[in-house]
Amino acid sequence: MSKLTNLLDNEKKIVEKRRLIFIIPVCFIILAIIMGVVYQFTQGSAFNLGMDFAGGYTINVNVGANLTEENSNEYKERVTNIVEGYTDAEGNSYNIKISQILVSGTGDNTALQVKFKSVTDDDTMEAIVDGIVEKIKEDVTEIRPVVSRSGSTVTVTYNLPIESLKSEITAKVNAISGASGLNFGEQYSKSVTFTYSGSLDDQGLSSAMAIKDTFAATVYTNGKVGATVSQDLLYNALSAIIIALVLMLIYIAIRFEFKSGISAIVALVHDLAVMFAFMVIFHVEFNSTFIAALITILGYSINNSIILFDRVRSNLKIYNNWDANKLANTSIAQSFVRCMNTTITTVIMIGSVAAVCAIASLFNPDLYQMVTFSLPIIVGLLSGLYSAMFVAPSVWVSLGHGKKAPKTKTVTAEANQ
Amino acid sequence: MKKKSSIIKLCVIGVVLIIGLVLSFCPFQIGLKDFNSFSGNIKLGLDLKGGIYAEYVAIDDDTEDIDARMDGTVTSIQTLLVSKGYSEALVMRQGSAGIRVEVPDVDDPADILEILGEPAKLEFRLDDGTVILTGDDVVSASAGYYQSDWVVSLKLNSQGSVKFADATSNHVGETINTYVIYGENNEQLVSAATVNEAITGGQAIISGSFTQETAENLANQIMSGTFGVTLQLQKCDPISPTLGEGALKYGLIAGAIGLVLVMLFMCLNYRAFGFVASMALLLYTVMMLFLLSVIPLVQLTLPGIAGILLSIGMAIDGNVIIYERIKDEYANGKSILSATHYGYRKCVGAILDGNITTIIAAIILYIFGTGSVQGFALTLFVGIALAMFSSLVVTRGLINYVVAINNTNPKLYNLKRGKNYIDLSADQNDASVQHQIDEEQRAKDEKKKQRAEKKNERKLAKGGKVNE
Repeated sequence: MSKLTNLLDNEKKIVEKRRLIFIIPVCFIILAIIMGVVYQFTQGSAFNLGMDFAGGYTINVNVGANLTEENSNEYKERVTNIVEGYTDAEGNSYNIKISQILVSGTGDNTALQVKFKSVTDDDTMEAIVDGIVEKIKEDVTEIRPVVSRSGSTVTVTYNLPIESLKSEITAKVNAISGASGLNFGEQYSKSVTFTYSGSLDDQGLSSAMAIKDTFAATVYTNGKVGATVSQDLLYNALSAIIIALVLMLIYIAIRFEFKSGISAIVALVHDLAVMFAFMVIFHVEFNSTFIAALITILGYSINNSIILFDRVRSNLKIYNNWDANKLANTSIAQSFVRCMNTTITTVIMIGSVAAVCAIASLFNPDLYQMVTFSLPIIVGLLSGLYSAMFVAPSVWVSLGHGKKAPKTKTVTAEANQ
Repeated sequence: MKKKSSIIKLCVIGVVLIIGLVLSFCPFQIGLKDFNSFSGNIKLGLDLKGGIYAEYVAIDDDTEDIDARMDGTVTSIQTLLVSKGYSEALVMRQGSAGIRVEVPDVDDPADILEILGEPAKLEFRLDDGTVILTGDDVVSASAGYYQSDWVVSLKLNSQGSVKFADATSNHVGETINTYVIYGENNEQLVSAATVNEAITGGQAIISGSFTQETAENLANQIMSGTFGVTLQLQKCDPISPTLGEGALKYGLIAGAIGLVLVMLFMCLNYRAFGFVASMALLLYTVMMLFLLSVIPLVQLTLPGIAGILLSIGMAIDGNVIIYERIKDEYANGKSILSATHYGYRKCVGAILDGNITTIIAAIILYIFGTGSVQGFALTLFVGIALAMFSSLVVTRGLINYVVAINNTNPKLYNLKRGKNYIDLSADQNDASVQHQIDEEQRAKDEKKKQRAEKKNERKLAKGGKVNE
C-alpha cells in the first residue's frame, strides 16, 4: 500500500496527462462501435439481445403424468438436445440456445415449456419451430423400456401391457443383430425376454426396443412470444435515468460547484458508456438484469467522484493560491487509497457471486446468467474507479479554473494542453 | 470507568447482533405459533420460487390498431400487477392475439385470477338500453365502504365525467342499470339505482349487496376491463422455478464467502477498526433482511440477491472513508482520540453528499420507472438509507467504544505517524495541532456564547414589552 502512495505522490502529474486519460475510453468505445458493425454483418445484430428484449418462441411439451420429479432432468436433457442440435437440411446447426425450460401444471397437465429466442427472420423461424415440434413429438412419444440382464438373457420391461404390440416388438428384436430366442411372458405381462450377444449397452437396447405411443405426449407451439421488456419500460427507464442525472447535477452544483457537477456527471456517463461498450465488444447477452446493473452503477459510481470533489472543495479553501492542476493532483493523491479500497470491497462481494455461480453453472447451466449479470457490474465498478480518479478531475481541470494562479504554473499548464 | 462501560456496551451490541442473526436465518416456534426467519419471509421471484402462468387471448372482432392496443394492454397488466406487489411479474405478447402472464410466488392459481380477474367490461345503461358510460371512461376502480355498505367506487376520466354528469342531469328519476359483461355474451346486472340528482365531479359508485371480497373482485375485474382489448383466459397453471432448487443455495454461499472475504480485508487493513466494520456490516445485513421481509414491493430474484450482496459491499464504503480519514489525521499529528473525533467529523459531509445523490437517483427511478425497474429502485433506496444509518450512527458509536477501551496503541488500529511526527506518542496531539484544535474550540465557544447572548437579549426585549 505504501508503494502505491509513493507512486501517487503529491508531485505526481496526473491531470497533465489528460489527453491519454480521455483517449483510453474513447478507443474502447470506438472498438465497441467497430465490433458492433462486425457483429451486425456476421451475427445479424450488433447487440446480443436476450429473450427479455427480443422475444422468441415457446414450445409446450405436454407429457402429463409421465413427467415426474425424478425423470424431469432426463426429459429436459432430451428436449434440449433436440432444440439446440436442430439443423437445416444440409446439417448446418441453427445455433439455437434455450433460454429457459420450466415445468408447468400438475397431473395430466404437466408440461415442459421450452423458451428460446429467434435466430433468424419470422417466416424462417416459423418453419424451424414447426420442425423442432415434429422432432420433439417423435422423441417424447417414444416409450423407452427398462432393460435388465442376467448373463446373456435380457429382460425388457415396458410400462404398459404389450399384448397388442407383439408384432411390433418381434420386428424390433429381429432387427437387432445378436438377439435371438424372443419369449413373450404370460398374458397381460409387461415384459419380454431374449438372449443377446451383441455389443449394445442397456441404453442402446432400450432405445432400439422403444415403441411409439402417440397418446403419451402432445407437443405444440404458441407462436412468437413478445419481449417482456416492453418499449414502454425501456423508454421510461431511459427518461428516468436522464432526469436522475440532471437532478444529481443540480445537487452537486449546489453542494460543490457547477464544474464539479459537470465533471461528476461526465464520469458517470463515461461508466455507463463503458459498460455498454463491454456488452457489445464481448457480445454478452442483454437481459432485463442489465438494466438493473446500469442502475446499480448509476447509484454507486457517483460516490467516488464525490469523495474526490469533497477533497477538492476543502483543498480549495486551504490552498486558494494553487493552480487547478496542483489542486486536482493533490486531491487525487489524497483520495486514491480510499476510493480503491471501497471499490475492492464491492468487487469482492460481486466477484464472489460471479465466481460461485461460474463454478455452480458446471452443474446447473442456468446459473451462468448470474455471471453475465455480474460481469458488467464489475466492469462498471472498475470503470467507476478510473473515471473518478482520472476522468472527473481531468474534465474539471479542462473546464478552466476561476481563481488566479501563479504565472509560471499557468504557462506549463497551457504548454501541456 | 469509561473503559468498563464501553466493554459492556460492546458486549450488549454483540448479543443483539447474534440474536438478530438468529432471527434472520433460523425459523423458530413459540407455543403453537411458527415464526418465520426474516430471510424466509422475503418474497421470491419466478426464477427461485416459481409461480403460476396464465394465457389470455384477445377476442375482439375489431382489429383496428390491434398492435398498439395489445401493447397498451401488456403495459396496463404490468402496472396492475406491480400495484398489487408483484414487481417481478412478467407480461408478454404471445402470438398475434395472445398475452402470457407469469406471476411469481403465488401458490394457488385462484390468487392470480383474483388479481387479474376474468377481465370484465362495464356498462351503465338506461332502461331503454342506451349506454351512457362504459369501462373505457374509468380511470380507476376500487372497493370502498359507503353508508354502511361495500361498494365499488369509480374514478372517471374527463370525458366520462362529462358524459355521466349529462346523463344524470337529463334523466333524474330514471333508473341506471350497471351491467358487467364477461367474455363475449355473458352479461350480468349488478345494480340498478335511481338517479336522484345530477352527479358531477367524476365519481361514480356501484352499490348492490357486495361483501368486501366481491366488491374487491369486481373492482379488479373492472380495472382489467379498461384494457384496450377484451381478454379471455385460456389456461392457467403453476410453473416451476426456472433456476431450480439449488440456485438460492448458491446465492447464499456466494454471500457468505463475499462477507467473510470483505471482513478479512477490513480486519487486515484496519485491524480493530476492521472488527468494528465487520460488526457494523453484520448489523447492516440483519436490518436489510428485516426491511426486505416487511416492505411489500420486494420480490427477490437471483439478480436481486446479487444486488443485496452488492449493497453490502457498498455499505462498507462509509467505514473505509472514515478510517482512511482517521489515518490521515493521525499521521498529521493528532492523538488517537482526536484523530477519530476529527476524522469522523470531516467525513460526514462527503458521506452525506454521496448517499444523497444516490438516493435522488433511486427516488427518480422509482417515480418514473415501471415494472422491475421500480422494484430495483426500491431495494437500492432501502440499501442506501440503511448504509447511511450504518456508517453515520452505528459505526460512530462502535468506534467511540473501541477507542475508549484503548487509545494508546496505534498498532491496534494500523495507524502510522507522518514523517514530521514520528516521535509523538499515540495519545498526544502535536503542539501546533493542539493549538489549532484549541483555537477552533475557542472560536466555537465564542460563537455559542454570542448566540446565547443574542437569544437572551431577544428574550429580555420580548419579556420587557410584555411586562410593560
